[in-house]
Amino acid sequence: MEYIRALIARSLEDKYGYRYLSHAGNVMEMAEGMNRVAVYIAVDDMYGEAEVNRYMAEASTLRERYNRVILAVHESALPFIDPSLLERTGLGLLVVSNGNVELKYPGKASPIAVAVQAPNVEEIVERKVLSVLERERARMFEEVKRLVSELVSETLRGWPGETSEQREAPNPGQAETPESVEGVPQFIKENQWVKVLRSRKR
Amino acid sequence: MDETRYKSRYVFAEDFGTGYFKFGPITLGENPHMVQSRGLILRDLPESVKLRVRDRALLERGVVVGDEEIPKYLSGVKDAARKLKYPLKDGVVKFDDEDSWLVVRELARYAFDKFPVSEAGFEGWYVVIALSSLAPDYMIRRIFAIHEELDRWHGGRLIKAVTVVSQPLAVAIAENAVDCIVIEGGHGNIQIAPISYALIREGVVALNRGGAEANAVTREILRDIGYGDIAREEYVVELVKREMGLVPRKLDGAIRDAKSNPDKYAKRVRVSPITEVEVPPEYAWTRFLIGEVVFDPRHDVFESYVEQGRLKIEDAVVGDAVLYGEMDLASGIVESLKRVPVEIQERILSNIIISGGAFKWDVPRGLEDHAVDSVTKIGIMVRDRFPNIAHNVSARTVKDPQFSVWRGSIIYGFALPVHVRWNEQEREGWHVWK
Repeated sequence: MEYIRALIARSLEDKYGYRYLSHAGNVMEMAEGMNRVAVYIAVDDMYGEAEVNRYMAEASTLRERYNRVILAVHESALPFIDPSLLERTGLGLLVVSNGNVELKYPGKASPIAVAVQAPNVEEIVERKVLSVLERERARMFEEVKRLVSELVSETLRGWPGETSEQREAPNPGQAETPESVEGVPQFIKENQWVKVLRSRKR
Repeated sequence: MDETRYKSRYVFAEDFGTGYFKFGPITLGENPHMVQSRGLILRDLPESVKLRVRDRALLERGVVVGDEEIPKYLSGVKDAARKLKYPLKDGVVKFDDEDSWLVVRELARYAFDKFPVSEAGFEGWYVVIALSSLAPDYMIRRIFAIHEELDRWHGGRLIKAVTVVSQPLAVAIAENAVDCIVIEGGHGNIQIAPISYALIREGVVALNRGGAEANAVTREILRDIGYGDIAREEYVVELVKREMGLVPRKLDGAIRDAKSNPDKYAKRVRVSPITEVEVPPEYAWTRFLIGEVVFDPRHDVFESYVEQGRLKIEDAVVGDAVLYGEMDLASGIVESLKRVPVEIQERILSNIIISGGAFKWDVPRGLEDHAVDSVTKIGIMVRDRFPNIAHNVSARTVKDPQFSVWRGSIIYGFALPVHVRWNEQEREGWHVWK
């Protein structure tokens, strides 16, 4: 099971750009952009029609907690899968065979039903605290940077080589910058166009 | 929520390529989703197939898109592939082609449906749409209208603002180049776009050639060597072109070498498990014509093809732009340079960025003396034709040709401030209607 789970997670990450989040039992949680995707792992050596239908029914129950749900089966299960049932339930289908993983159908995406989401108070509090701490850290970093910059400017005032622009350097940290915001992809942070475009005025 | 923080989650880009539609939100990282730019109009299907459609909303919309959805409705349909509607030609949708607009709207709807958002802080996407630099004004207005309509369907909570970026500019952004010339070679045309902190619109030069002309030459060669029957199949022609086509360092020298060493250039291409195309030694030199036509179609050989009516090399008008048929690529670059301010000419010439499928050519081992890749070819052409600017020329290909436009669009949407409102002349800013 461990091997299958690792194989599926690795393939979804490398080939399809998903991100592994966690797993519990035979359900693996992954992220695809903002979509939360559940992969219901039902990879067996042998299948029967009733068994496959049961797996589909169990996987379908996850639909209300995830944007998409993908049923992962061994290729020997394919003859027992009813495509119309797959379409009705909106499940995706992932097939494992000979060490290969292929996402046959990604499944239908749907909003998560917020009302039926089981609230995990501890997790919510933890996330909130972390986000407040992160914001506070960024603010303090900018504040300290500003103070150090002021101190250095004060010390250097009157030294030869100091220009008027340096004396009138703007106070940083007015609005959040791409560098200080969590989750901004690296290829954006390092791009010089960000600065160019952010300075556009009309 | 701060604009930067909000946009770090809710920027969405749509790249309307002629072949593929790439889409997805900023949170996807570097790789978007992709489907073919095509749709199936339900009206054209037999009643027996329409009865299979259970989704009433889909029937009302009248069109199906998506590579996993379309095949469901194609089984049992005569001439299935012919019923598919490809809305973009040379990156442009015709003004009055309502079926094409229907497909464009459905592609956009399909894209948003793939990424439903139920987060409390969500107030709508900032949507960036990448279009060809030849896209006329009517196309932008219609694209805006389509997104307004989609937003209304979602009760005004789907889209916050929408903007358009031209594809060459998006490539420059993705490549982190603020001063450059982007040469985008597509199936139907080649766009040469100078960029210096923005697209210099008056400097855009378009050539009415691309992968399609290389296909046309391949088709004629196949006919000449006795494969007229399979030359009718576009995918066979495409395959043979990829396997057989060569870009010559200098066409005359390459032809001379191929004629004196024909066995070196003879080639077999397997097009199916039972069919193989063999280029006989006496025709091996024609392999160089396939690549050359993209870069320079003014050689005598092409003239004879044109005179016999076997190849069309002529000017065309797409939207409100003139596309030159016979202009070679080096002249195109210089023509474009002439239209930009003198002080930046040198800077942008030192950074030529090449992208698109029309410039994807391999150099087979052993043929390096006379066959080259696109970057080398462009360098040679510019140096030959304009030796006085040769020392400045530096060209490279994009790192990831398929997704660079989408990636550049995401960066554009993330960085362009919301207070910059849409300006039709400059084609920049956010279109907001609420």
